[in-house]
Amino acid sequence: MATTPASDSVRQDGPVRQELTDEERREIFVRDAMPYVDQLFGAAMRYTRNRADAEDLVQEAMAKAYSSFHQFRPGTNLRAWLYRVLSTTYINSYRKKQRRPQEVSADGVRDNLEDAGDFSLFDRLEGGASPSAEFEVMQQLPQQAVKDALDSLPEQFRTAVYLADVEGFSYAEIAEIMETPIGTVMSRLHRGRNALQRALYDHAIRYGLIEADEPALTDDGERTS
Amino acid sequence: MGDQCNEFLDQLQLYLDSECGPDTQARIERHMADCPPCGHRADFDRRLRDIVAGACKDKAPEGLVDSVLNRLQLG
Repeated sequence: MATTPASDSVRQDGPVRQELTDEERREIFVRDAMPYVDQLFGAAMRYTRNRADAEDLVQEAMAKAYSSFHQFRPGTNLRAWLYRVLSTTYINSYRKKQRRPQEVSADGVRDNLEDAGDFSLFDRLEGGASPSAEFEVMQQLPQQAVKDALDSLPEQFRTAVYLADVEGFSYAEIAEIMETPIGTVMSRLHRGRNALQRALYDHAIRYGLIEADEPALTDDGERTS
Repeated sequence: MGDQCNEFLDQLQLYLDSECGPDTQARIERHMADCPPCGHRADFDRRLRDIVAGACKDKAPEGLVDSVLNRLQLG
């Protein structure tokens, strides 16, 4: 009952793709996966927060995706699969380089935001000078300020909010991309959006769009940023 | 703020994320129609998401696709 090398390799490849030739695999990858490259750059920017690293990250992720493309099951969600490859590539190769204090580990995130509490921008801005004052404040914030607010969030919150609100992924897809249970996705989204609204509120004060006369820094507990 | 408003607040994230079932969705939409402050809040949260989505898109550098193709020798 000796196992030949040939049957080993068939078994490792699983039942899905081993019948494809390299040429077929190449064609399918170019046709189906390559169109996502420009979108992946946007996600890579949220991970790395600078263009040169984001460009490298996309290139490396696509190289990984191509070399493991036989593991992708045709008919399942290619877009989410590629975002997951991007995420694992970032975690394995880039995050260590970029590590900032209190930002990366789940414990660090918990410590950092535990005291932040619920924060509703709507509640803060409601009842201003005009009935739609809260909309006007948000629309006057420069795009860069909004981007900075998102980029200021701890990575796991930033990623969850980005994948949901900018890329429009479902909870199930985000769970697959971040390799985490759906309940964790929901909690990260909830807390991430709270933190984002708090950051936007701070930016609105900084840009002089609202007055800082509310006790924004103390009524929910001490700020940690 | 009534019980309905509290329930609405609990479900608002799910609703705006299109992650609740049809029954909950109908209940939330009915409440928004009946309760202008809650409708206003939902409107604000939705527009806030649009603002974030609009601001946080980054245009990929020219030639990124070609660089990837070259690197993978697929060009």
